[in-house]
This record gives sequence, structure tokens and C-alpha cells, in this order.
Amino acid sequence: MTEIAATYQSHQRKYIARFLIMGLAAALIFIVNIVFGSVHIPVSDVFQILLGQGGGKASWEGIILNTRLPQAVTATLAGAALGVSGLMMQTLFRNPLAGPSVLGISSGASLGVALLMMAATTIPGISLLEGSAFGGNLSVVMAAFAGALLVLFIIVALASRYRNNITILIIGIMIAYVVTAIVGILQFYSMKENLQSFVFWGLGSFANVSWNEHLVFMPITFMGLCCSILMIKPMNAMLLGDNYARNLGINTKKVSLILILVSGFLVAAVTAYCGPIAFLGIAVPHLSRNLFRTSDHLVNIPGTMLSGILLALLCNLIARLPGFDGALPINAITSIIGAPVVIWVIIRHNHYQKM
Amino acid sequence: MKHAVVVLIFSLLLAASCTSPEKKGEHDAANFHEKSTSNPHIAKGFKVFQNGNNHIIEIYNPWDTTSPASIIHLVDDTYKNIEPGGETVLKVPVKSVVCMSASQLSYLQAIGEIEAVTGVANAAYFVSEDIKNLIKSGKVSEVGVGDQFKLEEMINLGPDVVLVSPQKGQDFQALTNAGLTVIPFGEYLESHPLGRAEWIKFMGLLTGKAELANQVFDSISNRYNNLKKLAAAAETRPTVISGKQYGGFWNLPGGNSYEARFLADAGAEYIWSNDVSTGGIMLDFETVYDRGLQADFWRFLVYSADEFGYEDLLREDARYADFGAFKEKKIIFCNSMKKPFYEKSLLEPHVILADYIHIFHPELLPGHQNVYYELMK
Repeated sequence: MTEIAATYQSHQRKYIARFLIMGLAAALIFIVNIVFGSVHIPVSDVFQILLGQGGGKASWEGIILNTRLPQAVTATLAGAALGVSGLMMQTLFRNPLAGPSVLGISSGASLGVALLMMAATTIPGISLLEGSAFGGNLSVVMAAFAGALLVLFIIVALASRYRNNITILIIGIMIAYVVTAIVGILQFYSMKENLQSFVFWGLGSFANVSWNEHLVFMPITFMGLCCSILMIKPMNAMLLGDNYARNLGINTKKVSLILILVSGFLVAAVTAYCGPIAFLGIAVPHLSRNLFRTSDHLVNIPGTMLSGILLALLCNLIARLPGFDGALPINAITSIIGAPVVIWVIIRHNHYQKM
Repeated sequence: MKHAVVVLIFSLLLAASCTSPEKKGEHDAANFHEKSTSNPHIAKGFKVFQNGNNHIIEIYNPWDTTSPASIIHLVDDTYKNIEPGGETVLKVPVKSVVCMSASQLSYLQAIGEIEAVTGVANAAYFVSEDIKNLIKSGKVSEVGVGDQFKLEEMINLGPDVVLVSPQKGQDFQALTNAGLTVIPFGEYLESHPLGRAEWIKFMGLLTGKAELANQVFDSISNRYNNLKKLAAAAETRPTVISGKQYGGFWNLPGGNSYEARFLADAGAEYIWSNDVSTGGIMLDFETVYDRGLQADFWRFLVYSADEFGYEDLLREDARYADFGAFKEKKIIFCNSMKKPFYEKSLLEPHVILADYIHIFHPELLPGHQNVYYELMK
């Protein structure tokens, strides 16, 4: 017995050490994100500007404080939020391929944006949003949020009726197909300029969230992340299967609903502000599980947050490296960089063979 | 198994032999010459070879200038059916035309052939009254929405020729297969403002108004070049940035593009004029912010049902307020929802140039009333 307790303690120490290393790495890469960009700004000037002393050219202050800093904060929050959201879906459906987009919530966001950008100008009669339309980023965010929440609402309404998670999963996937088809029809009949801005939105970006918009984005994602921490215990119970979870006194239906709500809200927020960059959500939980070699959510929730932050910041850095002149869309980078990283970690640690 | 493979290979061979590549041969050099008055000097997208009343038009796309994208024989009534070898043969003058892009209408209008139009696309977007009235008159049907065309209505209409806007990767095989004559009319692909206008010469050949078309072009070209000379004498050359950002990227016209040429000819200094591309360039927000903060002027297009002003710009991005042109209220814009920019401006480069000169150097053109571009109030 004491032996088990001892190994448990040594494991715990190992986890804490890894958390510390990852936290430090995240802080470091955050700073590197601020220092590097397509415009060369000397490191000393960067720190002077960050300390509020100003420095160098007039444009540098705007670049550091109003461009790179909010972008790095967005990447941090979005990485953590998508990772946790994906982890919740994977636990809820006990399916390693589940991700934040599996319930059609990000497709809902796409539909909202497609309606705003394309239908508003394709069907002049119903163009409530025309003109003021997609010039403003705020209206894009609102449209995406509305679309995502609509799908989330449908899913929750169905989930509260049917207790079987597989039913909900299939319904979610079907809704995603329907929504994607409607987006396809809109694309088919839209003008190329509007189509272009929609395709552009679909490439994803961490650069859209200004400080003003962070006033909304930060609290929403922060609240979602806090909720996820409260769900650690019931999520661990869910891993054992519905029957065991119920035996442990967990109301599985309620937990399922809460998981869908929290995860859906996080995805809705991130997709609304950054576009559909859901790949991070599928990849990051695997990263965490393999790095920590555990299925325990007490480890995996913070582990997923940290891995998500690291991966998102790394992608944000690569997309903006000086040579590229910022010409690489974030969605491409998350997949091109993210997929090999995940494959490497899985091969290296091979956690699933032991499962 | 073996049989299946043999059958598969055989059917593939059969399929391959059926799709013979389009033949693009040399013209009969002895009979056709390039001295036609309709042969363009500035436009790079088409070449005219003449033999009496017959013409051969070679059309080139900017993404492949090595061989013509299409070869069109324009022939008169005396034409005897000689096999041209896979190339398009069209009897001119054409009596009915379908225009898939709005700007083609203004080219026809300028040479008095607007009556020939029987079909258009995206009628809902037309801005100018005369074109809207044309649609209302019922003589013109709508045969396309977005980039899609209504094939059956098009066949039913049976126009002599369908003018399309060529885009990379797009073919119009369905129209050709239906027996329609499709001509890629790529005026908007020209990177010189006068090059775009010069496509009117091609329209003249199609409609039998070659003389008139040449006169219209010469008049446009003279007015443009006189304005350019006027602007070249200006004492100052204000710096200009162009476009807006979305998603962290700033889409700017290349240094050799249509927009950049206007700015240079209007006596301004486009900040990316050293760039060599003729299309657009995508730059990181901070790159443009760094170089463009001090620019004297800032130009872009908007598409807005309402008046567009400084507050609307700030709502898009608060960082725009840092730009010198914003602070000094020197933003030049054209609202293409209110002004027939896409319909008419391609044939009015002299008007756009005058708009710019009036804004950059008001003392040079004191009497000019701006048509497309204006200073934001």
C-alpha cells in the first residue's frame, strides 16, 4: 500500500515538474511571439515599449502593443480553449477522433458568416445586413456567434431528450453536413469578391481580436476554462462508462449536457473571433495524454491547456516569421505543424498501446 | 481479374483518344498581317491579324502568355466553310450578345451597340440608371447569378456570342458543348488603365464598328495622356497607401498593377511602387503599418449601402486612427455600391485619373467634379 502511495507521489512530482517546464516554455514562446514579426524591431526597443517607455520609430509602439500583443493573447486563449473543448468531446463520446467541430458548432459559425457575407449581397431583398455588412469585424463575430449558438441550442435541446451519447454524436455530425451544404449553396451563387472574403475568413486568424474585442473574448474563454476545471471529477467518472459513472453517484445526463454546453460555448467563442481553426482541438488532447501518459483529467485538463497554448503560440510564431511577410494563414500552419507534432509525440510515447 | 484490368486499360485508352487536344496552329502568314488599326498597342490580352474583311483574334491570359488561350476567326458573309481546325469561327457583325460581366455593357454602349445585348448576369448589382432601365425594358434576360450561368436559358436565348470574364482554372465547356460561341473578354486582366479601355477595339470588330471603336479609344487615350502630362508637372508627389486589412493581412495592389499605374500617372508616389507584381500583394498588417503610417494619402474601395465615413473605418479597426492620412482626413475612396465603378470606370480611365489629380493636386484641375473617387468627409 505504501509502495503504491509512494509511486503515486513520485508521479505527482513528475507531473508538477512537467507543468512548470511547459508553463515556462509557454511564457518564453509568448515573449518570442512579441519580439518577432515581419517588421524587425530590436529586442531592447521591444522591452522598452512593453515597459511603457516608448522607443524607436513611432510605428513600433502600435505594432507591439496593438498588433503583436493582442494577437499573442488571442493565440494563448484560443489554444487553451480549443484544446479543452476537444478533450471534453473526446471524453464525452469516448472517441479519440472527436473534436470541437464534431457537433457542428463551428459549421454553425460558418453558416452565420456565410449568410452575412454572401446571402446579404446575393439576395438583395433580404439584405438586412447589407452595406454595414462585413466591413466591420464585429458583425462577422456576431454572425458567427449567432450561427454557432443556434446549432449549440439545437444540440442541447436534443441532448436533453436523448440520453444516448452516440445518438447525439450522429445528430451533431448530420447537422454539420446540413449546415455545410447550405454554405455550399450560398457559395455557389455568390459573387467572387464575397466568396473571397468568406474563404479568407475560413483560413482562420489570431489577428482579428483587438483590445476592444478582448473585453468580450477574454472573459468568455476564461469562464469556459474555469468551468472545465470544475468538471474534472465527473469527467474522470465518465471515462469508466455510463453505468460505472452512475454507480459513483454522477448524474450522467446532466454532466453530458454541461460538457456539451461548455465545450460548445468555447468553440463558438473561438470560431467567432478567429475563424474555424478546430484542428487544434482534435490534436491537443492527444498531445497532453501522450506527454503525461495518463487519462486522468486532473492532469489532462491543465495539460491540455498548456499544450494548446504552446502549439497555438508556436503556429502563430511560424506564420509570422520575417521571411514569410505574414503571408501564411493560421489554419494551414496549425495542420502542417500540428499534425506532425502530434504524430511524433504519439509514436514516441505510444500511450495508446497501453490503453 | 486480368480481364478487368485489360478492359480498364482499354477504356482509358479509348477515353484518351476521344479527347483530342485543341489545336492552336500558326496563321496563314502570307494572307494575314498585324497592321490592322484594331491591333492594340497597350493591351496585352489580344492580338489582331487582318486579311481584308476577315480577322483572326488571338486571346492571351496573363497567367500563360506563351500560347493563345483562344483563337477566334471573325469572318464576313462571303466566308466559305473552310475547316479552321478546332478554332472558333464567328460571323460578324454579331446581332445578339450575352455579357457575363457588367463592364462589357459599357463597351457596347460606347459604340452604340447596347441594343445587341440579349442577356446579362447579376442584374441585381447594376448601379447605373441606363443599364437598369435596359433590364427593366424586358428585352434583356438574366442568364447568370454569381459565377454560375443558367445553361438552358442561355441555349434558349441562342446568342451569336457569349462574352465571359476569364478566370484561372475556369472553363466554359458546358456552353461550348451546347453549341454556343464563347469569347473570353479579359479587359479587367490588363494592368494598364488604357489597356483595359483598348479592349473596345475588339468589341468594335465583333459588332462591325471597328472605326468608331478606334475613335473612341483614341479620344480616351488622348485625354488620359494629356492629364498625365499635366500631373507630371506637379511640384509635389504625395505618398499613398492602398487597401485595408482583414484577418491580419493587408491586400495591396502590386507595384505594376492597374491601381499603381493610376497613382503614378496622377503625380503621386505609391509606397509599394518598387514592387514588380501586376496583381495584388498580401502583406502582414504590421508591415503596412510600419511603412504606411506616414503616407500622405490612403485609398480604397468600399461596398456600402450607407454613407461610409471615419467612424465606420474605426469600427473596422481602431488602429486605422494611427495613420497620418486618417488624422489629416486625406482618405480617398469610391463606394462601388453607389457608383458604377465596376460597370463604367474601365472605359473611363481619364475620369479616374482626373479624380485622382483633382485630389492630389487640386490647383492643376480646379474645375473638375469628382465622379468615382472622393475625399472622405
